[in-house]
Amino acid sequence: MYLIVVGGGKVGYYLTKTLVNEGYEVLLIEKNQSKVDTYTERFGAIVMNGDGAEAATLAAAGAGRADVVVAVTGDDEDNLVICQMAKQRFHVKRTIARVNNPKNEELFRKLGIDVTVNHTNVILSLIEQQIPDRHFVHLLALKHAELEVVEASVSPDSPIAGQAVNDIRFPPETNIIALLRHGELIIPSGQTRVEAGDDVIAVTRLRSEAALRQLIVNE
Amino acid sequence: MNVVVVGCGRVGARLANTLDQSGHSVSIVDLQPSAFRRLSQDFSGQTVIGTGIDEDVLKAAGIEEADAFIAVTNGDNTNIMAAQIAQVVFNVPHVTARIYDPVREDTYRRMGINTICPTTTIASLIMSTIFST
Amino acid sequence: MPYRRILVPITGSPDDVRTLELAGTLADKKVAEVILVYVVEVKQSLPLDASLPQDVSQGEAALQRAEQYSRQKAEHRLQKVTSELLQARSAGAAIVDEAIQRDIDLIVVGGRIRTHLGKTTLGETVPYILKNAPCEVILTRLAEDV
Repeated sequence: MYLIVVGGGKVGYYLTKTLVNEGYEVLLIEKNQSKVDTYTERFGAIVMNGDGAEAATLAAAGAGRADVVVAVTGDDEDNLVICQMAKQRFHVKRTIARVNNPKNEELFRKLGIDVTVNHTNVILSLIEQQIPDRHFVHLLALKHAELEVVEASVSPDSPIAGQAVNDIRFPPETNIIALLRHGELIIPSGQTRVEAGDDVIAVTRLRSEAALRQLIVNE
Repeated sequence: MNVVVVGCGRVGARLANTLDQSGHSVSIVDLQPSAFRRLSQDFSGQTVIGTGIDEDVLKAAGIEEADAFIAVTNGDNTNIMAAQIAQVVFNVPHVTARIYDPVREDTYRRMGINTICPTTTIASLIMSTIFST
Repeated sequence: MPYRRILVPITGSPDDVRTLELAGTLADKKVAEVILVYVVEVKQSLPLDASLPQDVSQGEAALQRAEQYSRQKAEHRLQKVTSELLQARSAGAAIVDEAIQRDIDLIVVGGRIRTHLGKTTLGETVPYILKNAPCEVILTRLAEDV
């Protein structure tokens, strides 16, 4: 597997380092020559000086044989163009863009970027998971399909406490994936009873989220 | 016509002035407030401070009612991204982006964006002035 | 001080003769082992293990010529000559790695000063070796018309 990382800021640097340690073939492209010199000292000949949005740079980097191009510069417009150039001119199968402005995540997907990573949203969801009194937490957003994975704890006065999964009237396009009971994972069948205090992990359509929250948490 | 211009450099300011004088409703976006001094004294259009790749800034510039959108900042990638926002998110009927890099220009023209590449245009203009005399 | 394990990078150019002669003078005639190394550099646009038959046969020919030269024609003929063809991203790093692995005590390398975009340079390989080699390095800066 060959990966090209564009952008030698902190993210690009540590990403490259980690990927090398994992045994992948990696090339880091960075615009600033003095950064290139420093990184070459540390990594050897896997750092290249150039503008990753330029076709000539991508060609020299071997984008034509790359499995993944990851654009992690500090500028969203650069990350977008790097990924689109990689896709359009070099037919790279998977492009991953760092998105600095959370509002751009959806736009990037519309414009053909396969995966977007946004620091702000990642930190936000980590915070949500860490706050003990949050009864309803977003674990993962699959925005392509407008689906999301959520975790919610069943409150004692929830209408689903004590009911079998089959008998619960979930909102449309919602499914329970797992139950966590006293730290143990239960993969529920239709007969499994949900108890107050269980953590329910469910996949749901965005528009059904409010109804699901109401059902489980009964806020 | 309602026109949104992103980038108030020489080209952007000139376009905005000309469109404004000929009676169009113009709004011009630039990150630097000082860039707007390039506009003529009697410019009657709207000036918006901000980046042309932020949907909120573009909304403030009236992109939702725009008939035409022109991206002429000094950054190719900014122009490309702004043009795609105008085209894909706001469905502006006429979108034009200036792209200096000929290869990038070619790529995005093939992707259906109306592009202008000063590099190739000016080079061929100069060639024609040399060889026509 | 005679050296016992000497590495000589081979490039295939006429300059090889100069480095081989120099290595011969420096070697301990009875026991010295000389390792000739030719590196096929692989461009980033190709995978590292790409099949490059033309470059490889060029390298093999250069090594063969060099080996023959130091055994038969050189002023200070050498008996223990081994050659090695490597395929790597960068010649400098490959030569340094080889020097480490083979416990080399001297690298004899030739270089020429070139001017690129108004700057004089020794290229990439020689400075890398000078900086990173684990052993002594003798650089012969070649004269224009050798």
